[in-house]
Amino acid sequence: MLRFWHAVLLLHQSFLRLRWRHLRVFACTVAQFEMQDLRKLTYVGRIGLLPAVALVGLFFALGYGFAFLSPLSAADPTSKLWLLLGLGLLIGWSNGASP
Amino acid sequence: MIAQITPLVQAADRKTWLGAAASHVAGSILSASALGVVLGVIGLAISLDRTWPMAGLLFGFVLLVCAVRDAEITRWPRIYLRRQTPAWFPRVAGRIGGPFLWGLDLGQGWTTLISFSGYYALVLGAMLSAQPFQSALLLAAYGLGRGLPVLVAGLHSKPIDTASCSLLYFRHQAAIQQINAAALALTAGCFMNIW
Repeated sequence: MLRFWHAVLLLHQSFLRLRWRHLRVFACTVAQFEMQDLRKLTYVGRIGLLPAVALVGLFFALGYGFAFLSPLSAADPTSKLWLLLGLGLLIGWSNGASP
Repeated sequence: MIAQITPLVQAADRKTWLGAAASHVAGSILSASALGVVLGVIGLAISLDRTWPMAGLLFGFVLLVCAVRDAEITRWPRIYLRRQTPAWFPRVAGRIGGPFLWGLDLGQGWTTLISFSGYYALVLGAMLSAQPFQSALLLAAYGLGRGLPVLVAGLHSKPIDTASCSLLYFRHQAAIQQINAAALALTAGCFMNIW
């Protein structure tokens, strides 16, 4: 957990100073964090809820992004398709993770 | 499935487990996509695409009903087959073929327990779209989601206790239901042009 907060601190510093050196250190720290600590997250890691929510969040962001950016707004079928893909993934994941 | 396939990491080797998990995910996607194609063709056959504006509203309404059910504001019985996927698949089809058959079975969704009512909205949406390819894509996302937890559970460097995994799932089931309800309500809002 300490490495995680260290990474957050480095990110903060990187944005303040905008130096490539800091960004490189941050990237390495995050990579180290992901490889070791992410696997140890107890619940979310085991049934994969964290990646599920991240993926679904991405799909929803894409869906709503398309809806707001498109001149057709919410009538745009692309945005609805993204939303449905996110929803499908979430429902599948919820059912698949259940014992 | 986590409890069935994940122990392979400990019992067999990592390569066997990876093959089993990958074939399970592949079977799940394949089966769900096939269901999507069938639903899309049914929608096309009964010309649901001609009445799409009304269908969109209906779909949004069903999404909301499912959101209310998952949020446990109201209760209505979920319809599904009261059976479990057969345990003998790996004995007949082997360590790779067995999980593939499990994937084919579970990817259909309706052949075993349905824990989240949003599945019904997905099926309706696939039919109402009346486009076999789009329906296949939608259900493929469901199949991918259905199979992926098995893959993720086995990625742990240390052996995991699948019994405690189940216990943790039940402990957090309410939160998962709320996430589902929120996602359903958000999608409903988009389809009903609320926002």
